[in-house]
Amino acid sequence: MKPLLTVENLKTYFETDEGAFVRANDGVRLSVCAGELVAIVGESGCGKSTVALSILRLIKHPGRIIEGTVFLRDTELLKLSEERMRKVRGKEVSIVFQNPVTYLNPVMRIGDQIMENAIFHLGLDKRSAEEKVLEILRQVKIPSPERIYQSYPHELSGGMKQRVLFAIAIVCQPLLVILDEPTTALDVTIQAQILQLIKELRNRLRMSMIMITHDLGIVADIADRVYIMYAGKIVEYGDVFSIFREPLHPYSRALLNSVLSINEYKENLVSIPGSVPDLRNPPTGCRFHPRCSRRMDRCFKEIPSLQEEKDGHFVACWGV
Amino acid sequence: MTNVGNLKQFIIRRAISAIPTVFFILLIAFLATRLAPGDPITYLAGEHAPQELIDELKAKFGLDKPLHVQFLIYFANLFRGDFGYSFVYRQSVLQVILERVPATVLLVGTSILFALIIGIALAILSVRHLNSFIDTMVSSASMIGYSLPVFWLAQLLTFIFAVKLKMFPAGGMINLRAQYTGIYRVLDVAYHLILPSLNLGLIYMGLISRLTKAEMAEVLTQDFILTARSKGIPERRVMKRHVLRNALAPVTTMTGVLVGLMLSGAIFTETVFSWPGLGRLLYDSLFARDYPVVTAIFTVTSIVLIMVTAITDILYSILDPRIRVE
Amino acid sequence: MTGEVSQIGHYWRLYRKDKVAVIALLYIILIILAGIFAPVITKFPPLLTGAGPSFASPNAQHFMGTDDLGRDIFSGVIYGARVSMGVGFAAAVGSSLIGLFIGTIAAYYGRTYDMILMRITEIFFVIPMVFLAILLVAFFGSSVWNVIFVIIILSWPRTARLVRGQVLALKQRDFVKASKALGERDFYIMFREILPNTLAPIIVNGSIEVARAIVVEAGLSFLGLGSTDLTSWGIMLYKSQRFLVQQIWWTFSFPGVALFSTVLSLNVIADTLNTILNPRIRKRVVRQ
Repeated sequence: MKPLLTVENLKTYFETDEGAFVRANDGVRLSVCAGELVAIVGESGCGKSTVALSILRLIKHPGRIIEGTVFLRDTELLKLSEERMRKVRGKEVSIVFQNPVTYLNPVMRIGDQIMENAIFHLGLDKRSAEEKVLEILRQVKIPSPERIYQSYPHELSGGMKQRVLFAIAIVCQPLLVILDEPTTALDVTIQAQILQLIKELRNRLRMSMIMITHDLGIVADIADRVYIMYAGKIVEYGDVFSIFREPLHPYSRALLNSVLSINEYKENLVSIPGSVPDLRNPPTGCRFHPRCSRRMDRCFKEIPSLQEEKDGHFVACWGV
Repeated sequence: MTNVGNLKQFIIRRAISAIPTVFFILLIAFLATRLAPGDPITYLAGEHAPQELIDELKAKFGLDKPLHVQFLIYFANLFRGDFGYSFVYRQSVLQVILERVPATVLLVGTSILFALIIGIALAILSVRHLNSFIDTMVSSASMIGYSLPVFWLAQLLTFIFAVKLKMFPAGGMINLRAQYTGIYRVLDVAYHLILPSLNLGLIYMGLISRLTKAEMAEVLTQDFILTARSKGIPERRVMKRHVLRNALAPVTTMTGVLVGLMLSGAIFTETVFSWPGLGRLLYDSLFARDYPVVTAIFTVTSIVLIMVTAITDILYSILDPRIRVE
Repeated sequence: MTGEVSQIGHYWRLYRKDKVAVIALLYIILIILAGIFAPVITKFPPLLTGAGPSFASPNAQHFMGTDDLGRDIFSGVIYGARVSMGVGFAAAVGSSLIGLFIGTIAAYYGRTYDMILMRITEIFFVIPMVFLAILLVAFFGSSVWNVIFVIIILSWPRTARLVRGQVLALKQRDFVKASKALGERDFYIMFREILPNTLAPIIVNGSIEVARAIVVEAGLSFLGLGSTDLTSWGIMLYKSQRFLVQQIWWTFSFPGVALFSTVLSLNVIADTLNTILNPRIRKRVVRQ
């Protein structure tokens, strides 16, 4: 089946004051099929959010998309005019950001913030738009929608604000929703509620989703497929069961090893030696080689490409 | 609606907090009348007053009574609108002032409108083309604008446009010889208004443009702008509804300050352009040693400014609902 | 100590990148030097009537022409720099010091002291400075020292408010709490620990204060409230007012340009300092 979204060789660089380039995305590959929930996993700073912003073409100076293709069905998003891209944003592809406190306009009522979207994309008049907004508020399980509609963001709790961000993202029934660390800024109890919401939205509305996170527990819970990202590149991807059962890339292995489960007891907490590379000057060859316990000569010199090792399970490593 | 209820409370609280400040101003004004060089009688009655007038004034103002009683009398007088008597103009001070108020209001009002409209428009232009040539030009123009001394710009405008080019009148509010009426009078005043309001307007336009742009640039770095853009709505709406709207509250406070700045600038403008307003009156009265008028101008202006600050605070809370809850 | 010196070097390097700002700084230094070396630069005492013919337009003897009483304009401008810069810096330093002191104490001891300060500064913020300055100078006399004094009295609240904000923020920081726990004396904490961290905005503010003081002094002089035995740019503009309609341009343009360019330079310096010392603004500005 042809995927809904295909990203190939995406390169997004950021220029620093001194003229160097931070290679936030250096040849990223990604695909999402209809109805799938794909997770992108990696440490902070590996470029996960940049992928999301690049897909939506929200990258601004000093960042730039250097190369790559992003196909949404049959449309090449990177080649669209800004005006046509705006029709895609919020309507075909939308995004839910991670910090509800700062991502809502403090002087605009909740209802208006959600409605803005609907009016522009769906051409509704004020009355029908209002009804649609109330309906969406119910869908994201916000109590007393009429009251919340009239409220301002600072009057809502963190969990409710996050639900509002969801409402904004789904009001136009997009094909694809990107979730950028949807639970990171929330308390654990609220996290569980939001996760529940994500599951429901997925099942009921059959939306495809990309979820960016560094929480492997959530990935195991709701993702269909996983992409593991390191230093601006995808190092492994595949079906979630396959990845979790048998991670092939040394980095994936280390990541999964460093997560404790409540049943386990470990003598030592395993951490990955070394630190995340400077993306202005990434290591030659395989970017993980300085920290890899299984590195070989070849790893210093040649960049490994993603090869299919098992059915649908791809990895970029010379040691496999 | 909880937030409307909060708003009402805020308004009341803010209005009440202005009262001590007003009281303090009146106290200062009162002390000024007692501390002015010369004794209070000379201050009130002028240098060459007949003895009966002196006795009358002594009784009226209770100058033989203790200081706090004097203050109460002063306060009571103010309430009745009695600001004293001007011996230079031979009228009650209140009358003298009221005659001049419309001219100043016209001047300052027009200048503020000019400064706000052009200033904010330039700021928006600047922000849309951030860090471009246009941005640099606007920033430079703004800085030149607010660095110009009001009185020097007044001289410059007079010299270039009135004396050399003879395009505009060099001073006055109306053409005294022609004595127009009706619509012609309005046009005549407008014609005379151009240079003085340009004088104030150009300078404070620079200030507004600079401050608004800074506020807007600050708002642009906020996260919710990203959310707005991710909705795919037109950039113009993002600018208007999200960027400008959030920058508006501080700009309102700025405008309040601006009124004060313009009033003090008006002193110079009115003097150079012979514009018959309060600024000119202050200048003339100072040199004529007409201290009752001077003090009254001070009192009235201060109270007006305090009210303006209170109003801008209230406007701020309307524009930014977060402020209402304290 | 070396840490602080290298910091200054770092900031200077950043400052140097902005050519306009460097020109502004050089110009101010030039003006100050001109004021100091006035007798060397010009041979006419500024107030000497009949130094040349009345209303001579600019020529070889009198670069900027003469006024109605034959006084040399160029001399007036050069000697006027003394008054303007002198008043400007004296008032700025004075009000900054007072504001610093009062603001720090009020913010540090909090509660009632802070409230009193806020009330007082509120009044000064509502009523524009020029207004009060006119009244005070009219009442108390217009000697140079009076003018400086008046400007200081009217300006310190602005600095005090600024300092207060800074100190309040810093008061909560850990290094202050640590010092308190160690039993350091209040004054030590206030002036050796908190204060150095507030210097950046105060320096920017100081630059603006100098510009403001110069304009206020000029304004007062323009209205005839300046001292007549001195010459300042404001006084020269005051005297030139009458002759505007006679198309005599040199009496008002040269002092005016001097005043304007000085104020503009100071504002440019303040703006550049603000950009480099305030990291948030720095990020937004793209270096060409």
